[in-house]
Amino acid sequence: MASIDELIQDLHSEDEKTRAFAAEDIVFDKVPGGIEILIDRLELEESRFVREVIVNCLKALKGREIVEKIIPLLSSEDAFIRNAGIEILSMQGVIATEFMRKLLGDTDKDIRKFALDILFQLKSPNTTALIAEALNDLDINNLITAVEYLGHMEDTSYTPKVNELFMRSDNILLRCTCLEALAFIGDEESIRCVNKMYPNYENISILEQYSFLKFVARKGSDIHLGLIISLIADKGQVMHKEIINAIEGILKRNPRKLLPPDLLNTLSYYLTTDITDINKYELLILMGHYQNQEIYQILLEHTNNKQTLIRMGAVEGLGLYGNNEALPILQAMKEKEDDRDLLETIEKSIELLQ
Amino acid sequence: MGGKVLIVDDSEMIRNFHSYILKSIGLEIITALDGADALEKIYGTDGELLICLTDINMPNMDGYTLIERLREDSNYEDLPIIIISTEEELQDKQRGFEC
Amino acid sequence: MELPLEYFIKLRNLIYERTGISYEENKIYYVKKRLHQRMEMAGFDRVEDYIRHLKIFDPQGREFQQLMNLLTVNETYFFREFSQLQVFAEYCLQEVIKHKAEANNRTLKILCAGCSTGEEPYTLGIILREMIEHFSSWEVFIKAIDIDENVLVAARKGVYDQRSVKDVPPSYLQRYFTSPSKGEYAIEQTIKDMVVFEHVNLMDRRALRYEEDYDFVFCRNVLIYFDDVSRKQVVDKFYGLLRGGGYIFLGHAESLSRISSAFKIRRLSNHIVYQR
Repeated sequence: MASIDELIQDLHSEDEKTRAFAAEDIVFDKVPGGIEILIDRLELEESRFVREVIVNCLKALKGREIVEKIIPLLSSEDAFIRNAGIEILSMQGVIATEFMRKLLGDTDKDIRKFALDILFQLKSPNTTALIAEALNDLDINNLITAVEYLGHMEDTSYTPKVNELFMRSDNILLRCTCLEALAFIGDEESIRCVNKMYPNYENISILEQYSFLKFVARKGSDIHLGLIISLIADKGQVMHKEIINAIEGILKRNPRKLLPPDLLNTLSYYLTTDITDINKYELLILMGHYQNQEIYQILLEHTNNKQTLIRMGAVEGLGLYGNNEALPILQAMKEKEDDRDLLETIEKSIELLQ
Repeated sequence: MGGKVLIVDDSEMIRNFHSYILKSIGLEIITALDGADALEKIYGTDGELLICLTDINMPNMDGYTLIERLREDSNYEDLPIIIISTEEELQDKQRGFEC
Repeated sequence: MELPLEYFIKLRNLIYERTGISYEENKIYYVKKRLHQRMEMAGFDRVEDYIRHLKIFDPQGREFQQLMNLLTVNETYFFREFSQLQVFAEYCLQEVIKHKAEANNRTLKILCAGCSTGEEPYTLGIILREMIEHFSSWEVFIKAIDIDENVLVAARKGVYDQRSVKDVPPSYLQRYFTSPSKGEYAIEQTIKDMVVFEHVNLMDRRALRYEEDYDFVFCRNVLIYFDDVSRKQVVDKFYGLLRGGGYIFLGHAESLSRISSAFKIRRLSNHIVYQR
């Protein structure tokens, strides 16, 4: 094994590989003071390859010592080093949480933001509570980040606070972020707030329309269908993904046998536009859940579509629809088709109809 | 109107936000999570990108490094790049131009 | 069996962020089927609960890895991912050959990581024979490694069934395979001689340390089996053993950018390639 001096010398070699191996050996052979040596080298190192090796090595270490020594990296002028700090700390588990609590009170807004990012990656039990502290952050960007993360964590303990922020903020981006978070953590009060804020579609600014649709997709009900249909008239093509998701969400939570005519018209209309194949696939399956007569015809028609994915949607839809008059058509497809997944879907639908 | 725009930001909310605005005026949107992902998306795109909007502070590869890497490649040195960032300091703006 | 598009996209994004693997939209059925399989095994009824579990309650990534194991196709066959091999053969290989010939260095070294039963390294051997002008003036060396001793035994034997050779262009099948018995295809000795098989564990820190000067590394659909940190270590290892100007090839749906930014990205004939 090379001596410590040799390793340090190698760390400054002209050859990239030699430097990389030295870094590895310094960590894995547990050279005393190894962390500091590597951090110092990181500042000077110009090769992205060697930098990445050093960071990967540091990630393998766990414990208080590494956490304490890496935190200063968050203040570096060098973006790579800052990011390295975040990455390494994100892997430290519960030990890092206490340190992040302190950083949340830092006077530098960027440090507070990094603490939030690390906490979000840590996913330890009490990290949500800490992230929620940033709901009082004076910097609006950190506030928005905290709301975004709380939405992702799906912790409903902070719903009232987010409802409040939604209602009183005049910052559109914050309102949108709240809406999208409330799609996951919203409660009855959230729905009331949203309905109050947007009594009709003209009240919803263009930017908020998207976030509104996301909220409705998970929390909306039939009362929102009217609003959605107004939006379609205006923005049907551009927002089709969000609109379809919203409709799907509402239908899922409020089962019924038949699709209301205006909804059926909307979905049929979308099938004729040039939305992506996968959206059409989704629509065909969605429609298969309902018993409207027109749907059967639509599904049959689409079994002849040029695109495999769309034919697959039609087949799955027919299986769900339940009309066994479709059997001969499915049998015929079974003879003709050669796509493995499509054949499987055909088999399944045939089974369902027999 | 038409054309592809790349939006690069580590915040999903910000990516969405910019997407909504640009989609409404008929542009096709591609998104990337960070500078490294942006390179992947840029090199992976068939045809021309109109413009690239990028944040600065991102994991894996920050905005400045992304810009530097693009400028090294003659195929992309003329790609218009707009920095979308919460950084307001004058020196950051200057650094953006220097890239 | 339901998978609303919204959740497919969420899952797809999660997979991409963590592994660099992209599932195209037309793979929705493929993903759906295996997702439900895994959900059943893990005891989840609703997709949204499962995705939440992956995002929030799986800090070690164990459940995620189980899902990935199910999603990844384990089959190997000759000339797999043909269009990528075409880019290698028609662009990257030619470029490297040209430079080396000019420098009078007529050696070529290729590393094939995760070679399994040998289809990939032998495929590369065939391509090199076919695509290098004045092949006999070149010294070509393919090192094929795998952690599984059993597959290496099969690889060294070099005998395959119809399934493995289904994508071999007919003229190559004629030229480079013999048929010892019905339904069996044995790779020709000249190709066999180009490949050396070795048992290597890429997770071993010291593995491949003294290897160098490789022109190409193929590591296709192998990195998915590693966790995040190990994956980065392995890729850095590959960087270290490549020559300047050498290329690394991952599976066509795998992107390197989630793993390392040390390589240069280039676009060649509608493909992304990575170069040291």
